[in-house]
Amino acid sequence: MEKKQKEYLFKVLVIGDLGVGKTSIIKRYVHQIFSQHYRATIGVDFALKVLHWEEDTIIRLQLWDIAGQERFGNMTRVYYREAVGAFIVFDVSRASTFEAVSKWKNDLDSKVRLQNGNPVPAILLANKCDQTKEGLSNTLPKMDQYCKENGFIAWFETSAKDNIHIEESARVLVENILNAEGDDLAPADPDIITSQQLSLQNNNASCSACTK
Amino acid sequence: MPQPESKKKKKLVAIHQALNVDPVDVETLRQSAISEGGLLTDEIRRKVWPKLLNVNVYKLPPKPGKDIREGHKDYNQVLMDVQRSLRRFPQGMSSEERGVLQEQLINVILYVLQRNLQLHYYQGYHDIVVTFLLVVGERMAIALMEILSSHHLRDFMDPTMDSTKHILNYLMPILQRVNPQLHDFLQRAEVGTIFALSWLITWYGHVLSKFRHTVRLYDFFLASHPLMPVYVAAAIVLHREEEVMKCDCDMASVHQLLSKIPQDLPYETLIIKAEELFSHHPPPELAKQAALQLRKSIAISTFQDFQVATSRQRPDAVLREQFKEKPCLPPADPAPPVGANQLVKMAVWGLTATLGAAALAVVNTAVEWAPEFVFQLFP
Repeated sequence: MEKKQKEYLFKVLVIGDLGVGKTSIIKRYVHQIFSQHYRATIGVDFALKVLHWEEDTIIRLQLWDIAGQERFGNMTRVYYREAVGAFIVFDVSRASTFEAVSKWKNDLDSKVRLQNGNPVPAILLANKCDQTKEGLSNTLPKMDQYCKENGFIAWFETSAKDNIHIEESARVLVENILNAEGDDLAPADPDIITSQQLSLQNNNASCSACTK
Repeated sequence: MPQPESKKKKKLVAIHQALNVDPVDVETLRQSAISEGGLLTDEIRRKVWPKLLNVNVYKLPPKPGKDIREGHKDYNQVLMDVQRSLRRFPQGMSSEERGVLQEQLINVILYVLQRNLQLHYYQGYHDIVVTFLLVVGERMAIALMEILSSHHLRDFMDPTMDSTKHILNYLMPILQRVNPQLHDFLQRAEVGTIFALSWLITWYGHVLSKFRHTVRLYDFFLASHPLMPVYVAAAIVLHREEEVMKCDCDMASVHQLLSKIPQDLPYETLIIKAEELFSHHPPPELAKQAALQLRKSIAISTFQDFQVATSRQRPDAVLREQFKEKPCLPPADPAPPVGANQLVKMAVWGLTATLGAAALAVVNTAVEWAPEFVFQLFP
């Protein structure tokens, strides 16, 4: 049987309060680097990661790094269009950034939907897990519950600094996007080649390998 | 491109002369800030920048105390942005020295915000303040930022970014008039104008890696209309036409290409180009376009009055006399709110107008107070 190369283009948003490490996560994932000295993102930044997903499948992941300051919200709205997945990031060393997560999730769901009206798959990233956790000792054990209640498909403790769970979280998000794609429910983007149902293993969503 | 020494010397002399008449010759200073090489040195910038903004250097705001941070609603955000701005400080600066400057940077920002409650902090404001801090120091930076924030940067400091969006909306009409083909390409790519957002609201401080390029542009902007950064953005996009047109015509590719400014841009050429665009396509012409009629810009609407006031600044001799008359004013005195301050200023202005003739007699001694500058010119 002749094998046909499949190519996908997925637009993924990375959002969350300022200083939680959105830019760091993207730089780690795309360029395998980390610096303490990334500047505040003003407006919107962009990076592309090409994944050789399976032998015959290439995925181009567009990662849109959205500024964390609230006042940019209205301006960056246009960049939410046609997104098919999202990471919402908070900083485990600052409890206030976790409190803002539901606000970011609502914001996401109000600005973009899949074609069938469902929310886009979103993963919650508890970033900076290499640092001391602040005021979240009651919350983190209940994260699975929190994700269920707030419509996240999964959560990960991540560290862009120590490269913990960045790849894994991206993999889970892409699997979910592909599943949605397989259901033929993704946005009608001419760049996206819709494929037949992909039988992907259901992933084990939550994890807590980042023990501290 | 390096300027011939003789040309540079001539310019230094012209700037010196413009500074030493009283009141200063603002028009010459403006021209010098715009023309090739700008104001040449930070030494000169320290003298000319205040004049371009009509700042009274004899009455600078006091050094902010530590208590400025207590209960300040923007403190945490400013702190985080400043901590992340290491790249804006000169390479090779010791971490102690940088630490002191970062503390000052926080103080300057908080002080200006606290005194002007109508102004709202935005990410990128710190990129502008750090540029001034590094050139003119803490107290002068406050004085310059108070003026700039209420004029050139005023639209960016609204509670929302709607006015900023409006200012960015001037970009595409310029491109459309100059290069319809490029404009159509950008429209088709639906790239929007956010790629130029950080250019505009930081006056390019956020995106240029060489400090000398940043201050060169600041010379230009301080001497120009508040919309000039948008004209520079247009000049940059036009300059990169070939690259842009070769790019895939989609939002992501074009946004990525345009938002990364090449570090070897020909700044002097771009400044000339921006000036030319400004004179051929002035803001009122562009504003005829529908999208630009919806909103009023404070920066644009107050600019003419601001410029007139700057051209008619009070002579230094008068300012100095005022300074001498009130030596008992303790520098740590809490500054009065702006409204009251303006009333006081007007009263003093009325008073000094009658003293003007006597005060002007001091003009000829102006050289006395800037000896180090004079020696630099004529060693």
